Amino acid sequence: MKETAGTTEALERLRDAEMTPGICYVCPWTCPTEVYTRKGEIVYVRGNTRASTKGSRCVKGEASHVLAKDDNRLKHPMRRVGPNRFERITWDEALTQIARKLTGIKATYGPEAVAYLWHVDPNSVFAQLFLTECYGTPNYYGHTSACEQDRRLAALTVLGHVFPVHDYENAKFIMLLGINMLGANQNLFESRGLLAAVAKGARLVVVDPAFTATAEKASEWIPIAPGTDGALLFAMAHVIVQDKLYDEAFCRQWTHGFDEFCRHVVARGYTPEWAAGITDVAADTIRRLAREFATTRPAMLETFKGLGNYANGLDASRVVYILDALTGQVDGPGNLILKDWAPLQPPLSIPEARKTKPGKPPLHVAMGYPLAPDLPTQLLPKAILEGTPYPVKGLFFQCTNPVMSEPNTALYRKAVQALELSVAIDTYFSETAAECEFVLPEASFYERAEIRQSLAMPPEAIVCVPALAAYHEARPVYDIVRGLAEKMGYGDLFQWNSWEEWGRRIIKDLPTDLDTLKKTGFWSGELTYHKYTRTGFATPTGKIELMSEAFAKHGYNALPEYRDRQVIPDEAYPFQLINSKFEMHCNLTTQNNPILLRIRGENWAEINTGDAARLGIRDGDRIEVASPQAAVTIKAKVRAGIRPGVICVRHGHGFGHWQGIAKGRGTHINPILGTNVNPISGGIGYNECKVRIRKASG
Amino acid sequence: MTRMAVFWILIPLFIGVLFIGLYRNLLAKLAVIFGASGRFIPWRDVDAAALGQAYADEVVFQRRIRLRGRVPWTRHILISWGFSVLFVFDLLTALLTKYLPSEPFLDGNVGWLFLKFGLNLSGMVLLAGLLIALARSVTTAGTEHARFNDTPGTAFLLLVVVTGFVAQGMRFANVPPQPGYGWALLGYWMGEAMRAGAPYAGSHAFVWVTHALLASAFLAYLGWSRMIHVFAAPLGRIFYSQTALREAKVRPVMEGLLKPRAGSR
Amino acid sequence: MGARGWLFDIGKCTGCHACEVACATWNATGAVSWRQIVKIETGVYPNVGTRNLSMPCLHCDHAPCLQACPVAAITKRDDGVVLVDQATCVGCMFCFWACPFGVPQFGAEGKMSKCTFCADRPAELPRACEEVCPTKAILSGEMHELEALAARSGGERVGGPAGPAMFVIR
Repeated sequence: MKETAGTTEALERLRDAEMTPGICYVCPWTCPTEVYTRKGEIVYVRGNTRASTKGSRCVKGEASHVLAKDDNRLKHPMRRVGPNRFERITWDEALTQIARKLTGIKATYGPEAVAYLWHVDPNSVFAQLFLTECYGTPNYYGHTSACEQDRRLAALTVLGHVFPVHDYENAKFIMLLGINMLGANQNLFESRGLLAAVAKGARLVVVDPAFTATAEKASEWIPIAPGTDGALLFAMAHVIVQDKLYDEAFCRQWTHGFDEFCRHVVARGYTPEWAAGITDVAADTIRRLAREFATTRPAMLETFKGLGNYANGLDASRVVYILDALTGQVDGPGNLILKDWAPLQPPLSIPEARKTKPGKPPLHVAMGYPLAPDLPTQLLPKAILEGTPYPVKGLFFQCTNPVMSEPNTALYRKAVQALELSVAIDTYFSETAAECEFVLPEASFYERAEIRQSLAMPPEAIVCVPALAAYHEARPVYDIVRGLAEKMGYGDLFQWNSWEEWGRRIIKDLPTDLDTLKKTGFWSGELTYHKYTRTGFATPTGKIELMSEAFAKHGYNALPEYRDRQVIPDEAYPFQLINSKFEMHCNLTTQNNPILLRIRGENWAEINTGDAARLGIRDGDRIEVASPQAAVTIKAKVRAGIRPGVICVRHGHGFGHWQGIAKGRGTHINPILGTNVNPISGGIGYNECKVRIRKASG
Repeated sequence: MTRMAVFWILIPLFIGVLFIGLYRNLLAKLAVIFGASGRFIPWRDVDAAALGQAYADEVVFQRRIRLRGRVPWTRHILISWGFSVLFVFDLLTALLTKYLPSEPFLDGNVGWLFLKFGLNLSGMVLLAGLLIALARSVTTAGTEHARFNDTPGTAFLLLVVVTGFVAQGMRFANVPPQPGYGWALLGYWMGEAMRAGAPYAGSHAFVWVTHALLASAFLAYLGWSRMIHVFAAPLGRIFYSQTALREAKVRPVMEGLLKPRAGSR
Repeated sequence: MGARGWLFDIGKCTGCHACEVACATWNATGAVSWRQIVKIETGVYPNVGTRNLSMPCLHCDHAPCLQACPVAAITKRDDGVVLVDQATCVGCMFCFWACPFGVPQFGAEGKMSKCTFCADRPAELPRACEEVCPTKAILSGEMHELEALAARSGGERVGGPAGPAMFVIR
């Protein structure tokens, strides 16, 4: 690999440009970037060359500069005056009216009746401070229930860490179940590290019903029956326990519930033979993989969203981390890294006297999901329409589009329409914005500043310096919240003459200054391994919990169990539908990008060659995919790299109503998905879906 | 006698240079291509619709140039169609009036007037295009765009066209006008304008020979300059319309490169 | 300065198109792509394999495009980089037919353009495609250095009489 650090000045000279460090927000990995601008135009972008990205940028990020000039972006605040009719209003009007409604809702229902949903922007911390501390609602949430809710809860309760990252480069055995880290969104240093490890001879095993981009690089692809990974994992645990392949010293010192867990898997009979019948993976294979995983060092087992797309995914995800723990493969080179966070402070603080304490518990607790790491969004319409568990009357949607991305989209649309206050803050006019009363244009990540944690292995802070001037009237969230605070009597707490003022507050505990950070784009601390030897684990017992005290406390099963997935294909609906993603699309910001649409203009449903032949479907045909809920038409992609009996749909397309080039491209798959919420985590089971397929007529 | 000897040596020489140029810069290049592309597609596999569409788009309507702008397109259409039609009428005129003379094509008759009309109309179209091109060369001189101009070629061809019209004008000025001569358009108009200096005896022969030599020299130049695109571009672009041929060329190479190492998956 | 070229690791390429977009951005090529991304799936379920290729111009030793150009618009620099002069090019597409890899691209206006090996970047800088690749599958450099690197990983030079300046590791 050629050295990229130190090449910035050369590029600046070649393009007569200036480089400003940035952060990419197309996907949630928030890679640090370099943005080259000349006379207010972006001429080149790449990854930050000194940070972990080493110049790399994924295709989405590399194409994202189009955002800066996209005429279809939201330009002005708008207010809904009728179905699909919006009038342009001034910021002052928008903020005044929103403030008035917030005051009204607080007076009638209490501040808890307002919730804020955010995605891909940490500047939402300003909204958090204002809404949760000044206004007094506890309901500040992200998008995780539609993403990796189960994995997150599993990591939190087993390892005591919300988001382990991965030292793939040093691993010798890597087994990935339900995670396509090369083919969807990429934590770029991990992509580089994984391929470096494979080149050095590491064994990569990918367990997935589809032959994903990650499976392409694997030594072995296990085309497991969908939603049965838990059985495979339990059986591996059984082998490790029976053969005593666990790291006993580590387990005795650092885990809680070791004996209980070992007894449990044996008592339940989670043998490879049992698992073979469920997973369609040979018992010998399961045994071999378990032994290989347990005896190769360093090793790593990981999952992301794939398992949690089924009702049984939570416990399956727990076993992933339990297996890493059983073999002592935690926070060392080549393992899951329980990263330390950079010592960043909030941008401002609210004095105690000015705080409003919420009177009701947060929604997820009141809904009966005390362990949910994020709001079970599928239950939000009930709160809005029926007042259960308590009324929700006002919602902010910042870069979230639940009318599009949730199952039961019709119900969600109805719910948003029923709100007394609905505010969309976004760069594009989403389906959710179309139902909101107020639509506020947000600045893109090329026009705003931020300072946040990175997702590299060491503790690291990254900085985004605004590369461009404001796009029409679009504003960063910190300015939007400040305007709102000013209207509601908290303006004095949200004062600054420049973003650098709060920027300095954020980094005051870092051993560096803002001027340096504005040039380099990041500060990195030292990567240390086995941090738990100093600090223990952030769990109730201070150890890795193979048996979860948090689960027990709330009356859930302290030890994970195997359950079948809920929706099983039958004669009428013989295919299991699973969801996946393209590496060139994410969220709203890529759908109107001409570069990305030239590469991948519409989504498709992958169907096995044999299945397709039986149904008379050829590659490129339009097919009807029908669930008991609804039917959609989508392009078929016939391939050998998918398990028979499974249809894999690439989601996130079919944004129908845009004026721009996104209009009419692709198929929105969500209408055919039924509601399926994990009863403990609140995560959405997107793959709990059975369908029938036939060639579309006409 | 010596003058005509020079004429009869130079003309074949120029044409010879043209053919050598065509051989070296066109046929030899085509050989490289067919060597690289392996084979022709058999006629039955030709996508006739695509071929016809490419011919229309590239040769007749020259759509790609239209994308660059209205002026470049107008200029190029006038020059290319003007030249092509003029060339055809030149050949026809030489054959029908000199080597296969017949009644309709004798001086002043209907056939002859038709040929004169064709020659002059196409010549005028060509002249208009060349003047626009020359104006462009002048107005963009010294700018970054200047490198995209072909001023020498333009000036050369303009000289050929002008000498042709002057020779024709002199020829018309040398004889009394007859009814129907008006169909000769610019040739006739120039003849009328130049009638005052008639008769043009030696000077007409001189201009005529100069025109013939310049025209042949231009053809020679064509074989050795960017002008060769008049053959190369239509050929190459019509080949390009055959998608099957393109894919048959590229795909096996890509697959070959992507073949796994022996022993791996 | 010796001839320069590419070392491409097929095993690392995921066919993600980031290189293609970086090239288009750095070189402001508009709708034209100077890198062809090819994904080939082989095999019958469950024994499937996929390989990806990202193909720039290979700046061949005996560039056939240069030999086939009727108007001598294509030249080869001392460092091996093959360049086309936009002013001379007449868009006849002969170079496409001559190139074994179909590298020459034609925008809507018909003139040929292709990978220039980021000719404006000094030799010690990475190429645009090279620096953004998430898996670092692309390496540019001097051919003799690349040859040594390729040999270490069982790689080989792309074959053919044109003499493409690219090594691949499968």
